[in-house]
Amino acid sequence: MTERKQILEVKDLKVYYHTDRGSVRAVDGVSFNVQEGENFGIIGESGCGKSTMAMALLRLVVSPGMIEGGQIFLNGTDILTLDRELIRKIRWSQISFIPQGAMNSLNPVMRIGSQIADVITTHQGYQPEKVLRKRIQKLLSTVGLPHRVYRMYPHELSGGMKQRVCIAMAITLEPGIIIADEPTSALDVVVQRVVMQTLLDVQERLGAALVLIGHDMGIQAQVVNRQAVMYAGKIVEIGEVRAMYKNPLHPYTKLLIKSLPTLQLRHDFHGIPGLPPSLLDPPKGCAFSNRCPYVMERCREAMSKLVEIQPNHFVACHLHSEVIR
Amino acid sequence: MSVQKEVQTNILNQTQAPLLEVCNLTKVFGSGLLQRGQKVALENFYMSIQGSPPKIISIAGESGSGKTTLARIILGFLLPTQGEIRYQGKDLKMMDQKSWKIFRREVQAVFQDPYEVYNPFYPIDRVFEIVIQKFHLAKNRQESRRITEEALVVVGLRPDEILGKYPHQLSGGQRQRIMLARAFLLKPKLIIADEPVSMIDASMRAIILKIIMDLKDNFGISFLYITHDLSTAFQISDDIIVLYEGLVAESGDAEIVISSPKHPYVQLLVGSIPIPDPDQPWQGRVELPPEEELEKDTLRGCKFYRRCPYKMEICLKNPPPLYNIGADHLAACYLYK
Repeated sequence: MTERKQILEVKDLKVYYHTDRGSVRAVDGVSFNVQEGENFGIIGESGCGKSTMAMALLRLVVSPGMIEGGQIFLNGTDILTLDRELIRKIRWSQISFIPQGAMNSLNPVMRIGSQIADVITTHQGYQPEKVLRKRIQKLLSTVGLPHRVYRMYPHELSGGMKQRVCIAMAITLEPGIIIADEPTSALDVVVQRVVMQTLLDVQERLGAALVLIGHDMGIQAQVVNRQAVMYAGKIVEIGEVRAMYKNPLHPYTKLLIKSLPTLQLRHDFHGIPGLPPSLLDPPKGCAFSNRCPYVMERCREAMSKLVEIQPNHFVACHLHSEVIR
Repeated sequence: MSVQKEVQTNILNQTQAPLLEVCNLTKVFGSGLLQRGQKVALENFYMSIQGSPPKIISIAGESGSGKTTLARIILGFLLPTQGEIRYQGKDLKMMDQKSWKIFRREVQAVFQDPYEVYNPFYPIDRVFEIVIQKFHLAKNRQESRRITEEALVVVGLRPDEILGKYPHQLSGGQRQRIMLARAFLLKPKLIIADEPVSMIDASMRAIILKIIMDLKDNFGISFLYITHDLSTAFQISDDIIVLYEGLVAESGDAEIVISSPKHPYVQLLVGSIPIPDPDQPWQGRVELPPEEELEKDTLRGCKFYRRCPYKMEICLKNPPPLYNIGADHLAACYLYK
């Protein structure tokens, strides 16, 4: 199998929020990489740090948040070393972002066409309206929207259509990688499917990589090839999606999958009792130890590193490190 | 029917009035000449909840289906355009003070957003205090505290971890459970739960769904569970009514309707549920015609016509009525004429 080039490499990324009561370690030493054209997923529940990490990838972290350490290599260059001007050039053109609730961030008093035009003219300079219109309408077709959306206002569109406008914006300058943070969370099941379909279509057409961040394991299973599970600011398991669903290694992943309602068995309730620890004062050892049914003494002392247990399947858990030894 | 039989039936009906009956409910939003700018949120909707034995009935649908409008009308927050809501045989619109107070106590609600329902300036204890005071549920502070603690235990929370805290100090799951405890405190007969777990993390949903089932099994409380998530509806419901654009598409036993849906829209809905198994992908592609999305659809017949893989000429003439396709299983589709 030919090795695909890496388009994104994140090394030991740390993002903390500095508050009066101390530093919240939202992202605490996260490493992963994404190949060109790959569908990569990051799954985690609220408060695990995934959205903060998405913002960090675009260098959109604002005070009181701060990138405390680590490196983010995009096409071989550590973007954490670049100045503001260069970062602005890179955003949209090399790496683009569909943030959570993007459809609600569309400017309500501007027509859709103008908003997309903004992205183009900011990066590529002035272009005559006729040229822009043709280009944007073509773009709208690629996301399944009719040409007349060009002249419409956001409030005239449904949720699914607005989200597809956001996808169109994200691919306008044909970036090599798209970061999508919960792109379908407020949408109905059928619309969600249409939007994900669209996202996959455009990604394939562009040959771009997609990093899909979310909490819905169902969507992730349908869309990504490889996936990382995040818990309390750290990655606890990474692997190919099939391997992870058939044979989850980390207790959190196992319990999370078990808690999902299926259409096979009724009255089957297996939630995970307890709560994730406060990230203001994270525990010494493994952050999952207070809820883990397999917890051992060593878990409370120190957290295990990510270890490759099976080919391309990594897990940070003493249960498995023990076996290796 | 002979006169005698009629009288007998009437007596029977009176003593066994359903707990909640929604009759010919229609709600139209917006005014305007020539029906422009009007949205028919619900059309001629009928539903009957017996109350005994307690049941969990799901109202499932997507946005625009009318499910939230239905919840609001049942709770008395919105007036119907036509039709009535009867609680234990009495029309809500014509209730006296006494009956209304009973209704307000016996029919409780839990809403979707566990963040906005709390006043952030007060500890959460206040939500219990207000209710205890208003309905005279306790004679003194000790009793008030005792019944509050009991309610918290019923929903699996530890009173010493919860009482005295402010909303921002608690998680979404804890806040939602507190709302269930508050509803439970009033010993209701029916709880209207509008998307109670959709803003809750996956790992906590199962816990809250189990609480809902326990409240039904152990305390005889019926639930009207309103959701767009068919997987959770499948887990806990006895019966299900699937709404599409203000009309009932299919209704019946939840297990049967969801595992083998008969209405083409419900089939699409069930087929679009993302299964957390990469070996069970979505089958085929789905297209959404922009006219339908933009609500400028002006078709006269079945509202699902544009997307239906089985469309026929008869579908364009008039919206299909509900056909009986099994034991209490109804589907509004000409395929079953």
